[in-house]
Amino acid sequence: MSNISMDNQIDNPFDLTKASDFSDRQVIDFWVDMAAGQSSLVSFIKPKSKTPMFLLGGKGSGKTHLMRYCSSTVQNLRFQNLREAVTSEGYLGAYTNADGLNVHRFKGKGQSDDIWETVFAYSFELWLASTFLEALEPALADIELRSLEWQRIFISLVRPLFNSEIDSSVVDFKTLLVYLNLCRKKVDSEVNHSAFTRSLTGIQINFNPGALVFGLPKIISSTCSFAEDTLFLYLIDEVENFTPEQQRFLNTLIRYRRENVSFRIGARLYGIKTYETLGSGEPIKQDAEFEPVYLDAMLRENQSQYESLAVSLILKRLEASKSYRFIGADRLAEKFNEVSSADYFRKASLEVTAGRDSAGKDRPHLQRLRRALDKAIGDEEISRSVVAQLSFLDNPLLEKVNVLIFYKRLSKKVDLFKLAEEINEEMLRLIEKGPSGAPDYYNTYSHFSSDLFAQLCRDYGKKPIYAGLRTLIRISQGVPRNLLSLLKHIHRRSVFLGESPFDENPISVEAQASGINDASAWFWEDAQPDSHGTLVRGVVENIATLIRTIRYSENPSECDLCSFKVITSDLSADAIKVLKMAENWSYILKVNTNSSSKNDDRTSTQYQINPMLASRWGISESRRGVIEMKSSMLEILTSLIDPEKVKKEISERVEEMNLPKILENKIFLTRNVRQSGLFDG
Amino acid sequence: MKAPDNLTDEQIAVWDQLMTRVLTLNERIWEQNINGDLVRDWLHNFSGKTGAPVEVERLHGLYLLSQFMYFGIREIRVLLRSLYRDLFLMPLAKEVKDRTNSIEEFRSEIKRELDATRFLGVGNPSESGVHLLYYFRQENQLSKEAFVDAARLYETKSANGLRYRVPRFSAVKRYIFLDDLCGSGQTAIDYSKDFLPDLTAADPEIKVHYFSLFATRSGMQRVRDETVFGANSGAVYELDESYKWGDVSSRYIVGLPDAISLDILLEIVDVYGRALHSYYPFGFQDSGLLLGFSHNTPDNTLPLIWMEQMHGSEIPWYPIFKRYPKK
Repeated sequence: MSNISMDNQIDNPFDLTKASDFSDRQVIDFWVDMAAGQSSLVSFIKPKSKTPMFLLGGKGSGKTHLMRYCSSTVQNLRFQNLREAVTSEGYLGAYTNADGLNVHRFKGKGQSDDIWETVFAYSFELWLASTFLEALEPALADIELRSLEWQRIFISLVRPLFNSEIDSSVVDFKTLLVYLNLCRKKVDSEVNHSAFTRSLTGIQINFNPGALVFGLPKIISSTCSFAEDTLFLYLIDEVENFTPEQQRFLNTLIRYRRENVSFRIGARLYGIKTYETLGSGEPIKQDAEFEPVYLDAMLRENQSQYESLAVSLILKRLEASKSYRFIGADRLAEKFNEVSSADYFRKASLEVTAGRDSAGKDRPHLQRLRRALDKAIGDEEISRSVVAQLSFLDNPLLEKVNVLIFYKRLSKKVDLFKLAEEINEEMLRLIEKGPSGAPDYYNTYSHFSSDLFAQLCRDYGKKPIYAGLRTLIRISQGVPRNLLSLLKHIHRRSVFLGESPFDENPISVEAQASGINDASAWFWEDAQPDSHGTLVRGVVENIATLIRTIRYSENPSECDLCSFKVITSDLSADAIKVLKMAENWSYILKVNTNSSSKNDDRTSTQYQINPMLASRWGISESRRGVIEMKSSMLEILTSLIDPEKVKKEISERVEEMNLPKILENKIFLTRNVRQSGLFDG
Repeated sequence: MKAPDNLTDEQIAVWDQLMTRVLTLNERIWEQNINGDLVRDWLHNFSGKTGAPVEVERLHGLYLLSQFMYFGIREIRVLLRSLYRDLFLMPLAKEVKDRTNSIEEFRSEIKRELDATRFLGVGNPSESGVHLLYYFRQENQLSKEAFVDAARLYETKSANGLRYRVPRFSAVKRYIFLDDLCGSGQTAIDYSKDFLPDLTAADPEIKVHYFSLFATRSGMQRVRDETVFGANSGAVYELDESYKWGDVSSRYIVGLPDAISLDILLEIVDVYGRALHSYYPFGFQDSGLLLGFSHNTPDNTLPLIWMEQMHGSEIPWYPIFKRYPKK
């Protein structure tokens, strides 16, 4: 089977990543759901719940796809009959995208904010009303719209919704729709021309706020028996485009919601600018008046559910491109090569060191240790003996574990040679008997193996490796578009390397690592924190640099580090603001708000550098270790005024984890005492 | 393709950037004509001949490749439209407008002029100039009658026992010769000397034009100065000296990343260029170009790009963009 298209280009099944670019058919074709036995994704949006919902999430978290899946046009396609869909599902989704409203027009031009508030509310309601009628029309086409009697009753009920007599041309459903569109166009025209005329007096507002948004669904329920119990959902997407004033109108609609109408509001994490309403300004109340759902966080927290969703997503794309052999869900992981951890990374780590090993060069970690020991104890013979005990040519990774354990167990009372000898024995027991033969040793290995392998790569001028399906899923962090973007880049890298991705041979580690780098660069550039971009990026860079410096230190305090926690109540308003902006743009993720600090009872907040960015700095993509950050340090990292100060702060923080400090405190001061037993006997 | 061992962190970062650029160019511009294996094979041509470490030479080779300009069939088609419109039709329309007094007269005169015009490719039917005619006709919606085979330009007559050639098409007053690239200008000069004198001598009213898609400034100047085409010569895209490798104003050596050394760049082009073609190490008549087309890579381009043993290379060399020779 070939995946080469007519123009000799290899199709990339992961090319299209934005649901707003999908056709209705593609919304269905690319739809995947949770595995059987788990709640459906649709249940996240609770389409039969009357409580309005803010569906929030980072870019590409699937908000649009989910909302469009519940829209009437897709309901119609799913059931091949909208009436049947509405009856069966109990709701009708009228989907609209706030981006299409060009909301920025409703300001300035010599008009007061009050006037614009009113004009926007009127225009927006016309928009929603026509969206609702258009969404509904296919469901009425065969019966109601053919009935003159129904049309007569419908219009007679619609007329009172308006304050003044509506145009005489409005005689039925269709002409009402035409009329509403004409009204909207007229408003558009007045608004657009007001830049020159400085006047909006041509706009005649002829219904009260909410009259159509709530009135029309009520009329439909009362005149269409099939829709008697239907919930009419306004699915309003990309509300981050609204100004705070415009969102106040939306909040007012939410507050004054009536029986058979509800709202699902899609927005980015930072998208809801206010919860205030018009008039008194009193905010709408969470849980009582609306429910917030954080889509990517929900997927992130349900790791196993997200994993099966991610696998389905990949298979669906392969299936839709019709160019790939069938792959079972349980075989997908085989299509991605991984760094083998067999025999404690023996083969993988030997591949890294092979070049220098064959040239007879010392391994850098041993070289550094020997030099530092020489300096600390002033006896080359002793340092050579210690290094010889820790050295293990056959497995560079275990050799690094030896050195790490040596640093961790050093104390003023320990005999260096004996310590090295013990470590060596433990390592041999581990190789011979497995983890039970040397549980402490294994514990350190299992915690730090990926960090030590990354260090090894770095010491040998290679980039840390990220590869394997599970790694990709972990990197995507509950955001389907991230996953698709990773795969898109991996696919193109793989093809360029002459591979046939998703065919018989697995995708190489090299293609994956390069593709992940590309996706990381895309993610960094794609998020465009508008007004404070430089600041936010600089701060994230500072925090990541600290994490990276710790990860690549000789004796890292934490393993698999990409998280930090901080007591936010100690932070300045500026530092909190910049963390919030970084979080809004998904550069960092808030992963825990209740963890308490080791030395403090106050609540701290834990953040993680988004794993999509992990390869940018070579930090871990998996969240195990977390560093506690003093507020004073975070204040320095979140201020870009003095880069030298940041550098100094990071260097001081990590100094204890690096040579020569590791030895200085534990050897230098007491060397005469401790070395006495070295050659005893 | 992974960065080779033994590069510094900075060099590895530049390697990755260049490889990403090559990958993107290949996807977007180069019509996926290459792949990672070809790049690897081509980079392996660099074997340390300059004295710099092999990996460093390869890094610089990769930089050169990332500067290669390629014009695929889509771009060529657009350029052919531009050639017809901007170099031929518009000047003709202006000339006709100046000597006509009404739209009817203008239309009739334009038709007459077009009927008296024929398009030809430079070179024989297997060469690239002629190859373009097919697309040129399609893109500009011309009839087959607007084209003529250069071999049929003349017919042979005899008088007093002497055989001589005369233009076959007496009604044709304008011949337009098309080419893809005017590098040194030598092809047009040779063509002009060998082929055209009898045409213009037979009828002073006959005009000959030479239009190419691309031309180096110096090459086009030679055509204007040394051929019967004279001022009736032009190119859609004239390449100034900045497109020439080794020129002080060369665009390829401006804003080099820190990890790329100008000296090594100049040296690898020189050392390997000489090993590949001792007479013209920078391409035919030392044109020093770095460009290619979907239908061929011109010999005016640096030999590092296209040379192989079938072209007479004295050392084994894998081309990255092949050249199909005239032989």
